[in-house]
Amino acid sequence: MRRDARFGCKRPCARFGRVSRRTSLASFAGICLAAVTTTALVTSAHATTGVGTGLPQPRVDVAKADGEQFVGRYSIGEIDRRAKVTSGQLMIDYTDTEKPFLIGSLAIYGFDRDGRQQTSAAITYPFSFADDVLTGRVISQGTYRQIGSIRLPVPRSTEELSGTLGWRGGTYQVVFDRLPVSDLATALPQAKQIDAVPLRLKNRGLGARDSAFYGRWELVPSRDDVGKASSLYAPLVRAATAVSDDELVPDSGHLQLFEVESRFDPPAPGGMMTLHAPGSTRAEFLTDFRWEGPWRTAIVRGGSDGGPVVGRFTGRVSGDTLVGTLRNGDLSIELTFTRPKQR
Amino acid sequence: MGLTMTLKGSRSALLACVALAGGVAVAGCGGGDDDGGGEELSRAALVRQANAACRRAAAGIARIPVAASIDELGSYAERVHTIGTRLYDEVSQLTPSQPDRQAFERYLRALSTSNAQLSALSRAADAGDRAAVGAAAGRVARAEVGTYAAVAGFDVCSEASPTPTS
Repeated sequence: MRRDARFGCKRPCARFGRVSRRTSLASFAGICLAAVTTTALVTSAHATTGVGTGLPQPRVDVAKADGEQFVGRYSIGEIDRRAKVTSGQLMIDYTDTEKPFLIGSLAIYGFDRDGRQQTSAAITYPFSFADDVLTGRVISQGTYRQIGSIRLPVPRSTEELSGTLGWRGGTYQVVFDRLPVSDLATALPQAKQIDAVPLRLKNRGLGARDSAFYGRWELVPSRDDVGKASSLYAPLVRAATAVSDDELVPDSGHLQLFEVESRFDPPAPGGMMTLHAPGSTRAEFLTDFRWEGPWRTAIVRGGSDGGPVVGRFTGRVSGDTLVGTLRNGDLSIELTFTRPKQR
Repeated sequence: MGLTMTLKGSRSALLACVALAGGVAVAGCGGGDDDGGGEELSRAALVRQANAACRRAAAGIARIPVAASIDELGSYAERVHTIGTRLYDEVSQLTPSQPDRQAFERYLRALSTSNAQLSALSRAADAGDRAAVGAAAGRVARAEVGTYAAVAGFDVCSEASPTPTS
């Protein structure tokens, strides 16, 4: 693979430029270009040793074995709505310098406090890695001042990075979705606006008493039945609407929570989520439940409760209602479950 | 054996005579009916027969695997359309009494509109045109065939069929 010496990336910098043109604002002229500007500033401000980047060698290195887990190109999939960020892109890679170090480029689109559209291009540098968490400063490419920070625990899945973004005086939960390296034509998706959830919930299980949550929870369809007035054509109307929207819209389903017994481990809560959409049925297996206050998280596994990690579920319990987001690959869907009424 | 044959022959002749007489009688009585329909049905009979036709149609549609992609949607819509057309043919054979006629005809119009849009939906799906599929699905929904069925009193016809789970 040809390497771009200007930025010190393994991948050609043109990729950033091409993606940016499609993503939104013309003012974002490509992270690489800005990076070159930044590196020029840095070069003039510091005596550098890195060939091709101009950035000084960080005092702390992130070992390749640790850093490679984060290398990739990502879009902001979810972010705390208080950050006022609508979309963004993160690229993390090792430089191509004599002594490679980990560096990131961050482009963020959003609104300022007055509601004006704002574009920010930044470098995340230097990175450090300790206690299974990668942390880095977010440095403005225009002023070379620290404008934020990023904190990324070791990813549970190869498809996403979950962490926090320090940004404009606040710290916000963020999930970055991995973008295919070769896909340069797809526009950046809009970041889903979420309510703040503690990143790693304190307690294992479903609640103070797991058994209080066991049983069947019924899915509340997320929107009105589009086929409700279509009589016997209702299944067709639902299927056609789902196909034309190109999204999963479950019209029924349930979540079964139960105790999983193991020969070697103590019993722990498990779940099976079944979602029926026109023409398809999905089954998701939930394990590794954690809770803190009203929040609940679980790991989503494929095939069985011992299968590979394919996603996660983050939800909030309020009485007999559980509202949450299921993420599995490209799927990100808000779901509401309620306890069936006692008969 | 010979006796049985004789009786069978007599019964056939008798049935033929009865049918002929009945036909003459019906022809005679029906001469003044200019709408081409059959005997006016009481409300209860109309509802019963319309519901029965809808039940058969819904059962037929429920047996068709629901399309999960645009590639499958065209043939799915076409099969639903075939059943919908048959339903229209069956229901339109019924003759409502005067008080039920307006609601009945509105239901038939909604059914006809829906059926026409099923064809459009099928063509759009075959062409891979998601926007046109969505538009046709919207027109089927807005035809509100279920609502007009409810107004006509056809409770089985008014129910939105559940999507069969795969």
